Amino acid sequence: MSRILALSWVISAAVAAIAGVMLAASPNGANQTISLVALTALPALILGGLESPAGAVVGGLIIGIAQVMAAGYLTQDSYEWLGLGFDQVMPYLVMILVLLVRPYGLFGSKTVQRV
Amino acid sequence: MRPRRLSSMKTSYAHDLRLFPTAWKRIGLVLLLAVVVLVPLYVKDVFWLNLLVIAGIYAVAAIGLNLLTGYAGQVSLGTAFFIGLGGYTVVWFADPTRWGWPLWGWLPMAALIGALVGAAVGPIALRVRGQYLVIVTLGLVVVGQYLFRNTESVTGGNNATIEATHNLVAIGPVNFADLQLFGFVFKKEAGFVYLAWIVVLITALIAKNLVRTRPGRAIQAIRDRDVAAEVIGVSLVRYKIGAFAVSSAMAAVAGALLASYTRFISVDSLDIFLSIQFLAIIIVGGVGTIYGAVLGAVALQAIPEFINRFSDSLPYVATGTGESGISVASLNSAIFGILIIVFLIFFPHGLAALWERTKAFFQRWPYRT
Repeated sequence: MSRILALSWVISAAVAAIAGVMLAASPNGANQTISLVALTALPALILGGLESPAGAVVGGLIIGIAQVMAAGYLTQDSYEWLGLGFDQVMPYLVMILVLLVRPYGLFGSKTVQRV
Repeated sequence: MRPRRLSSMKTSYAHDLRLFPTAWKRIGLVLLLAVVVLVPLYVKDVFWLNLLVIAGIYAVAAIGLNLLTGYAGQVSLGTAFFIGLGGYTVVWFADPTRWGWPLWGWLPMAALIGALVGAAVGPIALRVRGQYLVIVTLGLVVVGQYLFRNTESVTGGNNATIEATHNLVAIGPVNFADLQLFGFVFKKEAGFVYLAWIVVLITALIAKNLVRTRPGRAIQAIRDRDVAAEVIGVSLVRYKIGAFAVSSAMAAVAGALLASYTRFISVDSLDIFLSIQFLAIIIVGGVGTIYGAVLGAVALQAIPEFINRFSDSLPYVATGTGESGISVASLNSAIFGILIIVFLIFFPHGLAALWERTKAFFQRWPYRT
């Protein structure tokens, strides 16, 4: 039990570190604010569903594409009424809408409630 | 030897309902009241007064969050959003260039707006639970920051200031910003100590009365198992939404007090870390107790203020720019993180349980538990 728990932490930390390496290689470079990326990873995870690795990939794709599309298209003049920083909010809006329809995410398994 | 009665043993329903079941809790209350009443009279140092004011304001929001998270079991990271709501209520209703309402107008208004928005958010908790709910309330903070930033005509934009007026925090002849009582002349901070802690007392009384009666038993049943609670006849719709509404109203009141005290509110300060700070307060203080929230607020507010004040004499702490060492802000967030971890591992029920355990140890002496 404790070995499996430790192993899952090892894997999760290793994968997160790989993500960190790739972020550091991006134009912005490595700095302290990189840790804030974890906050945008959460909507992706939740959107896909917690128990599903495939869900995490799909969720990440949907959130990432939605955010970049919002940053690219919704900042044009005709969308000025959306105001500043709408692309920051986009992932959370998508996530909340999906969760209201499917409370366990797209691929999450619905837990059986025992009473 | 006469058998001692355990204070934790309830012998009747009336006993269970008592506000302060043990003598120690009554003594604690009297001590706290004495500190809050006497300190502004005799302490002129703004440092201590400011500490008491902020701790009191945070205690109000922490009591609210404890109702929602500690009693109803709905972990929420949305506190910062509701604090912002309260703050901007003051900007809109109390600023003399806008509506210019007095204290008795904008404070209940903040509670009302907080409750309404909380009730609007509450239904999400009916659909989404556990970790999913935590992330949704995190989303609430981000969406809230975006809204506050972009509705400049209402909120005053990124950095809103509130005009200093004579009667911003006055009830009739009693002006908390310029208090004169029995020949004592109080500073602005000293007056605010009274205002903040009066609100803490009212909030704590409301919360205590809620949790020891029917709604309290209902939300604790929901915390333990919401499906089971529904089966025995607890309306999830009513009590989950109700818990969100009450908790949000308290956070909004705290936000309104904070904004009227600092006369300034910035969108950037209403971020996820403010919410985490309130979770830290109730974890350190004690999840599921009212006085734990107050204890936690005082303890966690005192630590950063002390570090700030005594940063000169601490090793490896940079006091100015260009000095080597860790900055005061980073040290504070590191300490918050460490405190959350230490308390969750070693004292999962917080300062409140630490006290209960010490008491139980001496009550059962010489028997070990």
